[in-house]
Amino acid sequence: MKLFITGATGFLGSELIPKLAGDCDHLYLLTRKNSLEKAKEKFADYCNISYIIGDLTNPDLIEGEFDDLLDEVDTILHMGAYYDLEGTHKACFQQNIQGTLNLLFFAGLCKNLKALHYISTVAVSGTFEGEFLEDNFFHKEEFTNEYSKTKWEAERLVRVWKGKAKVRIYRPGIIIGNSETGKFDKVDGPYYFWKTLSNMKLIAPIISKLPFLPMPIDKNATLPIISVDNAARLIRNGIFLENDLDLMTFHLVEHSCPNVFDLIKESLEEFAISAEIKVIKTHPLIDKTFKTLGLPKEIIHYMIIPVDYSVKNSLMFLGLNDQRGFENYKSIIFKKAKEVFGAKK
Amino acid sequence: MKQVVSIAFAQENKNYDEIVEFNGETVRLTQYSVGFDFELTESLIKKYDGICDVICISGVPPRIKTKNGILEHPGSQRLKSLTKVTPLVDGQLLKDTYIPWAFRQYYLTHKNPLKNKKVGMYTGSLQKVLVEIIEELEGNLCLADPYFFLRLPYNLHSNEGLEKFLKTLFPIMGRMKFKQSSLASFKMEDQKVYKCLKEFFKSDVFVGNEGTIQIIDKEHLRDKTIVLDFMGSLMKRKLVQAGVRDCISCMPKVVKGRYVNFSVLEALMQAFQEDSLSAEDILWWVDELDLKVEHHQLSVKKQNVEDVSKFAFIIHPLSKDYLFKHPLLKKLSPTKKHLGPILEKALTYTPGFYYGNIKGIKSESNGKSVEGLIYTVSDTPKMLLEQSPEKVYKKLVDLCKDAHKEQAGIIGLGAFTKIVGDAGISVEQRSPIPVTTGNSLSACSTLWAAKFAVDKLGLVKKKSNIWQGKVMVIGATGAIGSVSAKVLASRWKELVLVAPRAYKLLELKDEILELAPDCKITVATNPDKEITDCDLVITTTSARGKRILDIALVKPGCVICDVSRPFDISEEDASTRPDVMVIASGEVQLPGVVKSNVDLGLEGNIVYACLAETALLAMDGKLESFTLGRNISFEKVLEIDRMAKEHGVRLSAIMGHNGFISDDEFSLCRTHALSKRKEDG
Repeated sequence: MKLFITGATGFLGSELIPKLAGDCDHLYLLTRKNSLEKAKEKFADYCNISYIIGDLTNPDLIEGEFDDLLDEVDTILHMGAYYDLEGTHKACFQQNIQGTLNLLFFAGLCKNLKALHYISTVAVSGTFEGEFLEDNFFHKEEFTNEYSKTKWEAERLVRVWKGKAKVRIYRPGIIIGNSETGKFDKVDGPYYFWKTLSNMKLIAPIISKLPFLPMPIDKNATLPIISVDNAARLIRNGIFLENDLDLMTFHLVEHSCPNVFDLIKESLEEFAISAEIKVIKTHPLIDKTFKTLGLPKEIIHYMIIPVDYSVKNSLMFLGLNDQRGFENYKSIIFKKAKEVFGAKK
Repeated sequence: MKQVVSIAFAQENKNYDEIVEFNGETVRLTQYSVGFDFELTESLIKKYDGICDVICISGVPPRIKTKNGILEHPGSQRLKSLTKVTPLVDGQLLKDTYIPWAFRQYYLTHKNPLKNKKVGMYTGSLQKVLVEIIEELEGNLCLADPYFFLRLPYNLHSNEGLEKFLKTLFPIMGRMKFKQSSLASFKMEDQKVYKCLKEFFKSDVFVGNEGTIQIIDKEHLRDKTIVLDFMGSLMKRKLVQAGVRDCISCMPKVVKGRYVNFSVLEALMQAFQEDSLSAEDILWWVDELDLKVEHHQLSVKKQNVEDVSKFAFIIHPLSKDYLFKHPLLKKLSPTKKHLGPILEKALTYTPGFYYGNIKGIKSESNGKSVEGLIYTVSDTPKMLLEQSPEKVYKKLVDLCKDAHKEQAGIIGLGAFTKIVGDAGISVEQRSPIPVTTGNSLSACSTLWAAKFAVDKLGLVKKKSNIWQGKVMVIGATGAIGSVSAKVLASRWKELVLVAPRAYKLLELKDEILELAPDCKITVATNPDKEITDCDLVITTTSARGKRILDIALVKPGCVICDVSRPFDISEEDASTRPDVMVIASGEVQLPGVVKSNVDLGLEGNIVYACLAETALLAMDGKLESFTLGRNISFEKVLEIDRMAKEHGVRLSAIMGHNGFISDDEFSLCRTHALSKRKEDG
């Protein structure tokens, strides 16, 4: 298998490339000029990786001639995206929509392409509530941030792509640290909390003395998370999966995702804050408070919208359950988070 | 491969990047829909400048050409000046060159269905070329620009108004940023706040561009016609969902597999030449690609049988005696003689008013019910003809406007109101709804009646469908007279045309001879000489009761059709000749169970033919100014004849001066005539 990969140097990519390199004939990584050195260093152990200089926002993706590549590549893995819940429309559009369009155009040119794997996100569910199936897509939901909106459009573009290759769409949840080492790359999802909580005594010492803490939470809301190693494992399984369906979608989230309320309660305990959580409805003041605390207001979205991502396909085809769930490794995650954020008990 | 990059400024989630075929070549066509993101647009233009062949942008405010120069939003100007190498087009040139031509072509070849229709435009400023064309095609414009841009609660109604509006308010609009929220939504419930929308939503045809329709609420479009610059397949789905009746799209599918908008098409054209496109180049392309307007039927109109459409009709008192029928004036009737002339004059100063209605008219063919609103002016025939026509027009136009408010679809001019001035033309020009004089059906019914009476008396021989007798038309140069003469010429052996002005008569004679070369035609300015051997006389004059012929001279057994009101043949005259059948033709009966709360001087379902014509047009849904001016056309008479037969408007039993003429009266007249002829030898 000869894979063309975008977004290889990201958090997920770093975990996934080593897993793929061993089993594939060759990997072509689309790399920006200024991150070439970093990438080479990262994957120095593998000799079947070559680096293609280019950029997703470049109409031709690749700089210079690339006709040979069009004959070689038989599989594409498109991970490259701009992930920032607070990103502007412009930034999200350029990477997610323009990038995907350019990639799809490139994919159309590949003569021997058999499969296109695209990493979407669970955020495409927007404001949908209830059970969100893997095949759900053309629902009329609204989006609270530019990231989700542009990722939705990007997934739409992939879905309506007129190429001949099979299409596989993966929608990972919030990717958290490695389940064995706890190592993480980016502050995201629960890490925002942990970062804030660990600095709580510095930012707002009064909070630790409050008898209760008002939080906008829906008691049924769960946090769709997945550990980075698990996500990488599932995608790898997807790439090697033999199945004739033209289009398949997978939700990459832990089989049993932690309840937001429980997770926050536990987090408070971990960070030695004794206040009780008081569940409230969302309130205009909350946005402001979150800002002061260094929490992105987009995270409220996860806390108040109860949506249950169905993982039927992931269980059936990708072996979701082969790896232990969050309950079993959360202590590792907590430990690492505290270590990094320097919280003192 | 050539690459064209399109930036759809006002759209979202309409991105694509594909290879299309155009002009026999493949072109990479990339579209980014940026959702009003100005900065993103800037950066995209900068990025593609020098990389691709042409950049096009759509959905930004266009250049607006006004008498006082060109207006353009500074934001658009800035975007369009960003490129240094790659040409940037916006479709404006193509639109300006192509749309006026295509739109006119469509309407002219489809018999101008825009005339007198209410045409609502979301923004005239963005489609100013169309405003001018629609005005030219006599559509009644309603431009929602003030609401659209600034939420001002009024509409504009003409190009001139639009220019004024732009001149005053463009400085403010130019300062507004482009964003979706600053545009109006056109929601149904908003009409409570913005009263102007009520008027706007009543339009029959809505004109918009793709970008606008994309954004607005579509509820008000149910069962309406919409004119779009172009309609993509997604838009088509949306319009069908909204229940839009039909869509006139100015742009066909020219690129295989994809509808493209004007800006993309212009860009594709530009991609095939070095120097910038000129109007001539565009014309060449229009021809090359065979661009034309397309009509799409989106949903079938539900024929609601219960639906009652309305028509209006204007009458007036036939003489000063009638004035005293008014409840307020009834008590004064003993003083008729003295007060009459003064009152007659005084009442010319009052405006017309609503008099009553006619209900229960129901078509026999399509079951459509129509209701008539009867208006009246208070002028007698004499006064109508003596006053300055302008004064009368104003009265009539005011009534038209009121009828329009009451949702009448067409208005008929009864009796003398239709002969004032230019016979309805001026009134029609100023009226918001179509106007008809009803003369076509009057002429038609006259001929029905004449045929019926001549048949009934049975004194004229017929040879191979031609009456072997002589027919006279008095007032032949008049509206009804000339058409009657034309029709009769092909059915009768001899024809006498009588009218006061000889030169007109000679013209008419030539005209008729072309239609019926076998007929022997005589002309006269006085009927007396020829009348002695005429078998049928049709009088249609506006002599207002003056004696026009000497009844003593008339041939026994002659049928006189007196179409004029007041009558040309007085009752006394008629009674001196029992051997002559005087019929007051022109009356027909309406289908259905007709009930009226006003006295029109007729009984039951019977009405004046001109009223019946108005009702017929309403039943047929042919709401147009059917008969206007002094000339009625032959074709129109044939058409109304067809309509009348279809919907069940028939000749009522023949009427004389004193109501119906029974079969007994016919046979009595026949006996008198035969004996008189014997007497005379």
